[in-house]
Amino acid sequence: MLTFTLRRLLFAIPTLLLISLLIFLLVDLAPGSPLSQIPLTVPPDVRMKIMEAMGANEPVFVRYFLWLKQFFVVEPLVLWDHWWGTAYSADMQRIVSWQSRSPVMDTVVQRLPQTMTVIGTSYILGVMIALPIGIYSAYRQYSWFDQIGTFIAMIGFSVPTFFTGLVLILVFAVNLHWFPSIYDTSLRVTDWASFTQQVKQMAMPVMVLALYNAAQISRYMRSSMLENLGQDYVRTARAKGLTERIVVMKHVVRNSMIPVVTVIALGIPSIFGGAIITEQVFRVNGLGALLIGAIQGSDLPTVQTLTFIFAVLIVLFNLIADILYGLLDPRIRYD
Amino acid sequence: MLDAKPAKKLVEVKDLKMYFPIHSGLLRRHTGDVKAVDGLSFDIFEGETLGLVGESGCGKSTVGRALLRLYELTSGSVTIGDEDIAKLSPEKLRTKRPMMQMVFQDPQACLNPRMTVAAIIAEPLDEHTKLSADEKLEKVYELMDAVGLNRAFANRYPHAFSGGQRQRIGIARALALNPKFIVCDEPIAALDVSIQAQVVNLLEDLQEQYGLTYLFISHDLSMVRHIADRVAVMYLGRIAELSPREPLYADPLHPYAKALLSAVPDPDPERESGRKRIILQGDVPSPSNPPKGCNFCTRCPEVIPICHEVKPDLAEVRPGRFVACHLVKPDNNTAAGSTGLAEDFEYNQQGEPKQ
Repeated sequence: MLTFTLRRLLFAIPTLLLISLLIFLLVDLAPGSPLSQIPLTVPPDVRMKIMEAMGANEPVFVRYFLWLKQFFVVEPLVLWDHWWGTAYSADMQRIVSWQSRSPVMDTVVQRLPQTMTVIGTSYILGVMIALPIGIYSAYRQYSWFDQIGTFIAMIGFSVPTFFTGLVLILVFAVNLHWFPSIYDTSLRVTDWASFTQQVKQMAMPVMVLALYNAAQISRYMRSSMLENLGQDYVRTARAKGLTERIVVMKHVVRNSMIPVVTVIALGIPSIFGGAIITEQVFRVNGLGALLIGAIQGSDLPTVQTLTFIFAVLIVLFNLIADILYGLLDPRIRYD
Repeated sequence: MLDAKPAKKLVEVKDLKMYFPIHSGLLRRHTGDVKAVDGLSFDIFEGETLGLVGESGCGKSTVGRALLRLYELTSGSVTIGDEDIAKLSPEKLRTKRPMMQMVFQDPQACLNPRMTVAAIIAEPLDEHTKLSADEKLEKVYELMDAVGLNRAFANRYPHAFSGGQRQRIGIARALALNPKFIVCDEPIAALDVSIQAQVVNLLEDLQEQYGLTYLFISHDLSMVRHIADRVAVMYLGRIAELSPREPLYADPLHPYAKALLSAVPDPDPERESGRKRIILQGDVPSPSNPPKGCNFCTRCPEVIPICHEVKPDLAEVRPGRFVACHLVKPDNNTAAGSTGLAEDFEYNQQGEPKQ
């Protein structure tokens, strides 16, 4: 297992390098200039100087290798210095946003908690809703519960989150005044009152994303359960005279969880990247909102860095899903 | 020696019916039934092996599963010991399970892939006994010895075993709770021939050792001849003939039994060259729409008009031999009736005349 993991990590390096190059070229080739938001009254020679100051006039490969060095050498050193109080990175150039002129990584670290609380909660909630629904609808296939579950899952699947988000805002914020329509990032949870306020402002984005996640995962769970319920070993378990509870929970659910756990693990990177639209709808000041803002301002370093972080997460969780598969299923052994 | 054994009924099946509903149309309405088992009555005596043969799809496996109530019966009664298991509540049925077990057809699929051999064999003990962990492990080892598995394999997973070994695990699992009655549902069909003999011999040894009663379901007529004391021939959800082994193989009475047994190859090349096969015409009718009258009337080479009208009942035509056919009439001198059955059975159980 260890050799397998190490080998996979080694293989991940060229993959990630290729991904980073592709992202860099794509973003660079996209139309738009980092100065498009600067007023037209600024004279061309001043614009030129701004470009030079940002390094945006360098050839694309120079910028790419500079970015590589900054991402893989400078930023880890900064982190190291931050943790241990050393000063290795003292006069090194960090990845700097063209928009805010501050280090991209600092912004990412600032935005991460918002994304994690809102999107992370919705993912956990979605999984917790999806698993029981999936298990029960498979156990009572074609029952009313199953039919309704299927219907709701289809809605969650097919209606985009920006639409459900707006509908929720219309119903719960505009008409009922239950929840605020805008997420207040500066809110600090210190006492009961601020905690309820936090729960209230989280409620709608969490509901929207939980519906979406639960719809997907419950379908996986249901089909995996159905596949296992028809297996011969389930009949064996019944013939042993086990209680129905043990038959379902111990035999069927455990075996059905193998593919579902990997699906859940593979979905985790989407916590970071996939909720861009929802963050935008509810004005959650998270990573998604940061990415959208950077794309609009042609802020190449920020877009590049964020997208690459998402790519790393996806590769990493793919590996985690494979390892989980090997741990859960005794039939699968690596190396 | 076996003649001395009292012929006590262990399993008594009366008019067993197992229909699977067909739902069709836009509203999935109940439009018909697949009559997998359609009115079966037979007994299995303590310590004997009853073979159940028939072609694919005739309902053999359904009978086996219905007997242990792995399906909910459509109607009829199955008395095992002294309780009608068709009418037991789920909880009482569960506590009754230790005495009746099953060895399944597909040794690959019938073992939970995520449990070790020891866990698979010990699980019934967890549920039905109060043994300590050490006692359970000791019992697991004993069972593994009994079926000829190396004790060192206890912590391996089923996928690490060959088909024959897996079937041994399945048998050990079935034996764990000291059952009296075991349904062997084609236990050798998925194994290759050399392993088949091993497993069948193992089953015979265990029968002797633990005094088991088997219902042995198979489509392998030679193997049934080897292991069974009496044999029931099934066709389309009904029993065509139920006879002791030797008379059945020597002189089948029902036209379907004749046709079926004529397909068994003879190891003696001289006799084999003279063997006459009865080739049946046509296909098996659909069990969702069986023919009126005798269900074999569409293919029977000896069919007479009454066969299309009246369903023949399974009747004792010779001592211990039950046939459902209008053409086979009871012999006058041996029409003992059902009261004489118990005594006759002693004579017939082994399929050999008493010396």
